[in-house]
Amino acid sequence: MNRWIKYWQPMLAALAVSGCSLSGPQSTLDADGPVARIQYETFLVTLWVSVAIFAVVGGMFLYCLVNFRAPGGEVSRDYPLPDQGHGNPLLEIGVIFVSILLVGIVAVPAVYGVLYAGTLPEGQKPLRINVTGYQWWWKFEYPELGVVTGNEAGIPVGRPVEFHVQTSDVLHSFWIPRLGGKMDLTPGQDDWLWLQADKPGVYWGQCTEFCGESHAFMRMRVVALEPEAFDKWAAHQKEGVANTKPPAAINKFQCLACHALRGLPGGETGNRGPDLTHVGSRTSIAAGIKENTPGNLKAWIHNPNDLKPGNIMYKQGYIDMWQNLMHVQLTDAEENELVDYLTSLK
Amino acid sequence: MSSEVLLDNPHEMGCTGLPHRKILMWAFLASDCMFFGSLISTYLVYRGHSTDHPLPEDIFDIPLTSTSSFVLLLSSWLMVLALSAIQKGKLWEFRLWTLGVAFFGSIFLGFQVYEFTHFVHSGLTLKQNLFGSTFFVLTGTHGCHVAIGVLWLMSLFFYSFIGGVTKERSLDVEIAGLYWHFVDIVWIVIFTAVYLLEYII
Amino acid sequence: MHIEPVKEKGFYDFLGRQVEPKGLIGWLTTVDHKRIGILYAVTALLWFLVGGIEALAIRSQLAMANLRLYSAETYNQMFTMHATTMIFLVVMPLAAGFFNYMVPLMVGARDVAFPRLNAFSYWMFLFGSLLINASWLFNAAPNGSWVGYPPLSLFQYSQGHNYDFWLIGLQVLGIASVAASLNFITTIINMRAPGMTMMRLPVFVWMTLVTNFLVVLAFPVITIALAELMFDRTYATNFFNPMKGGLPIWWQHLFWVFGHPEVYILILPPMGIVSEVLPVFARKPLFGYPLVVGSGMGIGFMGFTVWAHHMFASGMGNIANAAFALTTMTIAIPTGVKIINWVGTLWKGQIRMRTPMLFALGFIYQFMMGGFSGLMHANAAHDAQQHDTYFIVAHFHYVLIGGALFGLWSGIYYWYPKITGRMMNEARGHAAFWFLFIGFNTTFFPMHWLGLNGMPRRIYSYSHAQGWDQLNLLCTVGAFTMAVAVLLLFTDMFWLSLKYGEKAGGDPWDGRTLEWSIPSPPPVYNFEEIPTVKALDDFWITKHPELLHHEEDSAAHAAGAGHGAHHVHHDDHGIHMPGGSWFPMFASAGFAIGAWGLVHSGGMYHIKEAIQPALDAAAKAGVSWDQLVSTAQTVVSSKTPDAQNILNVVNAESVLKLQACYNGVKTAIVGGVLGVLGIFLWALEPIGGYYIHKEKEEHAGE
Repeated sequence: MNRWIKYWQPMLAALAVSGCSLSGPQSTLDADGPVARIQYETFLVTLWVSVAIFAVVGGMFLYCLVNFRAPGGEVSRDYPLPDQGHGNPLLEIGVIFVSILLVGIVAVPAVYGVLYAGTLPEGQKPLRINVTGYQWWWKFEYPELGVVTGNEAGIPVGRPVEFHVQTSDVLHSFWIPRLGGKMDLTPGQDDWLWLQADKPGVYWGQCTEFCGESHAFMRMRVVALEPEAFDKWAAHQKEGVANTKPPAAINKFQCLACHALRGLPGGETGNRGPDLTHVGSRTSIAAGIKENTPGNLKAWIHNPNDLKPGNIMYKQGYIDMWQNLMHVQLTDAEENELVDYLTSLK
Repeated sequence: MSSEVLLDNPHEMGCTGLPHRKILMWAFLASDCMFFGSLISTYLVYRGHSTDHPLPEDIFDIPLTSTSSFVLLLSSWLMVLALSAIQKGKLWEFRLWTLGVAFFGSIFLGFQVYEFTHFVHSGLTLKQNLFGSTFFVLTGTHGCHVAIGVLWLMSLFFYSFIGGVTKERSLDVEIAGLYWHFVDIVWIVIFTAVYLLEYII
Repeated sequence: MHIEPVKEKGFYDFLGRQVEPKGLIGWLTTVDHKRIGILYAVTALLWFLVGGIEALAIRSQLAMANLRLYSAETYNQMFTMHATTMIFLVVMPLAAGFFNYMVPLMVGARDVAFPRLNAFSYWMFLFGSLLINASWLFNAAPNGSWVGYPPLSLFQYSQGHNYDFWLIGLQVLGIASVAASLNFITTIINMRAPGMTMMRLPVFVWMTLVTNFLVVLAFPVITIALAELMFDRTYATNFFNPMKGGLPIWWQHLFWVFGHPEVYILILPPMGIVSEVLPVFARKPLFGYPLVVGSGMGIGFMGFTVWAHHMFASGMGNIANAAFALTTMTIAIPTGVKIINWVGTLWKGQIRMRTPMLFALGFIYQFMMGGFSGLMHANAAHDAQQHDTYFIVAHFHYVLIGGALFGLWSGIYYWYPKITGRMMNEARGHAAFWFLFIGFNTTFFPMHWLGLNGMPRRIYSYSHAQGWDQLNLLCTVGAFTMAVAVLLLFTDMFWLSLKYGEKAGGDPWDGRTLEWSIPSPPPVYNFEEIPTVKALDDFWITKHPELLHHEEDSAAHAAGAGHGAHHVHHDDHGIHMPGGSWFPMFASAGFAIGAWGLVHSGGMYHIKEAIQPALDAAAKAGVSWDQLVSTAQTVVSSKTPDAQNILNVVNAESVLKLQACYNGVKTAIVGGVLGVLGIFLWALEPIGGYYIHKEKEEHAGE
């Protein structure tokens, strides 16, 4: 099956006329892992069967349109009638049999692909990551490694990763297109999927099950690292930030009620927002919607509602400060301090 | 929907030799099958999913419900007699049997009201747990069907006194009968799925 | 010809039931299937404008990366209402308009089986559509996508009335659809003209029959799902509440057991229209009529076996995914058969390039494309990549616009002369077609690529780095091109051709089926004499008697024998036409008021539960409910807690909301009683109406 891709890829590229790029950070056509690749290959089978049918049936259709026009586009009623045949049973039966055959051709790889993606590979023990969806961000927990992170997950290259998905509120769907198909986060179910990255890189993902006002702003990134680099990353993520000096704003605005800053007093428990212990080491902020630059971070802290309408940090943290009906507005100095501090949390 | 019931519609008989209203009723009953099918499957899917008590085994009284089910089944038999009577033009017999059907239906409803009250006092409400939600909505919907049937039959009963029900218009009774039998059959399914299943599994 | 009213007694005389409906009252009380058909179609087309404006708003917002033309919340309302409107308020009722107008004409009947039930269906539909759109006025338009998945749709996550409007509105529309469908099933099975055997029915009528069976069998499922969700929201039941063990996935199953047949409810009638149009404009019979009919039934039947292919990403497991992939692929077979048969109809025909034909040909091409992308979704392995992306959006717009809407537009151009008596302008028709065809393909073909390139659906905005800018802009340009086509159609249909179009005559297209055998527009009684049907495409055979023998060889000849028993009603009274009736509208207005009340009772028990401590405190202090409400009003307006300290500002607002819920319940009861009263009055109402007598001379003249 892996061989097909060599032949079809250039042809698909030819199909992609108009010069529009089909290769983007979330392109399913750039399969960078075995799951995505198998799914892509089964897609190509369906695609080419469809193209073949289209060539034949569409060709006949076009042939009719060209050859069987009434002279001048319209004829009078007494113009001699064409043959009044009602059909051809033999042809019809043939069509049905050919359709069954074609469906069979499409069905076999489809079922193979379902089983492939739905069965953990044997051999290497997969790395387990528990994914929890929140409106509108992601929590990643590594139960075997004791690592917790938000919106950006590190994974080792070349090793299958078993993602167990669950939701803390409404439905979401976990999707890293270049690594493979998606899985919904459904309450009351323990669903999982496995993915694997072939080469190091940053893989973009996005929530694909409508989850409310800021559904569009619930993105994520998966960073694939070489095994050694991954081990280093994981070990670093476990460390706390006890020896840092948090600015006063962290306490003033009760950030730790929701966010964890492990190692700080009272910083272990916050779990309604992403874990910020190593926020400075991430490539993006606000669930993958902005690059992690000081400017973006400041804009986000200044008014989270601008970037992500309706988010809980704004609604509960800024607007009514946990029902004390106190409107929060950070001063410029406070914002700068916070940005400096958070950026330093590598 | 029973609009054409009371009219002399010359086009009433269709090309299949069946009256329009009968076809309408059968199609409606097919629709109602899916309606109850969805409710019953909801009940069955959620069986055992309740997180709180009371559960069926805490509160069901099978002998009591069996009695009311038997009463409802008997009413179907009376319905047959009522239809047969009006088809023969025996108006008084028809009135008697129809009253019987409505009466038995009311007894069934009475049992249901008693049962619901008892359950609510035992702590089972619509919002208590999944069992409460599914049970009350399923049996309550059936109860509404029975109540509509009783009202329908009572309308026929009273209508018979002003000449609205005659041998020639026995179709009106037949259609009400179709509905009534359907409601009975559905109850047998519900009774099996909701009550008897607790004995079997 | 003269008219003799039926004598009526008492009460019903005072209701303005006119012998021949005239003016506004005529339209409000009409039970004539042709008028109801026009009402359906015009209403649907008006909602089509609304849904189209919503579509343009969506496309404008997505035209470029990071746009913020309006808020995310509005966007969510916009796409939810776009889908709800287009599915339930446009395609279904527009098809229903054709059912109403055409089915009795095509089977050779004077009306549908239950004319007043028919009127009731229309009014329910109208009020339901108004109800669901009234939500815009309260800034509470449904905002959770047309699938309304819980938990998002539970009260815990959505506390406005947005979902209440959606739930109750769809219930009202569901009642309308089921009532109409029961009526059409009866009409088609039972009101065929003598000789019109099932296998002589026009394909459009067949597809209507299959569609209406689907409605009758699929809508109860969504009715239950909606009712359960409504109970969850209003009465705090636990059907879909995960905290109490409820399974949100169960909603998905119920929804799609309805939702997939619904897809065929949308597409089968246009398939029927295309199957009528192609033979007329190719001047030869439909290729493989029995197989086209059979595959229509097959599609309808299999529509119930494939629902879970909408849930491949919901964690059903390998076996279920594989099984539903296989059943779904099986549907490709009857669908393919249909397309082959349409092409076979064109084969060696004399294709007349008139506007209805253009749209029918466009249908074939685009439906084929939609079918292929459908086959690609059926591949469950790759559907994990396609699910909830723009690839899906591309697919269903190819079948719903490229398929359903092109078919329906073909129907509009085809039957417009029959309905109005005037031809639509060919040049403007061709222009509309090309604008729509090019606009449509420009809008939706790039969406395949967007989907494969990872763009999820239902997103308000995207960033430049995701790489979707150019194609999205292209889609937006296409959408506005389509808008031009819609404007062309509307000006032509409602103004230019209606006023200035050339007179059509009874049979402008050289038609094949019975509706072309009567004048345009048809007289109120449709047929002077109920026709006797000798063959498939009977009117065509009448015009070409030399074909009859050939017909009888191939058509189902034997079935004709059973029709000897049928009697056409001839008596001295002439043709009986039923009188109008106020009660269908009265009853449905009652139910609509009730529905309005139900919407406003949404969230009742949740609100009550939240303020239970305050209610208990009030009870302890001996404060009655009315007093509590007036206290709450003072608290809310003064923004200070009351003296007894029972209510703070938040509680007080809840008390007022609860009061609104209680009022809603009261309204619901009043409305329900009015509705039932309406049905009772309608049941007791004599059919009334009038008799049309043909004069002796007129007989002689024919």
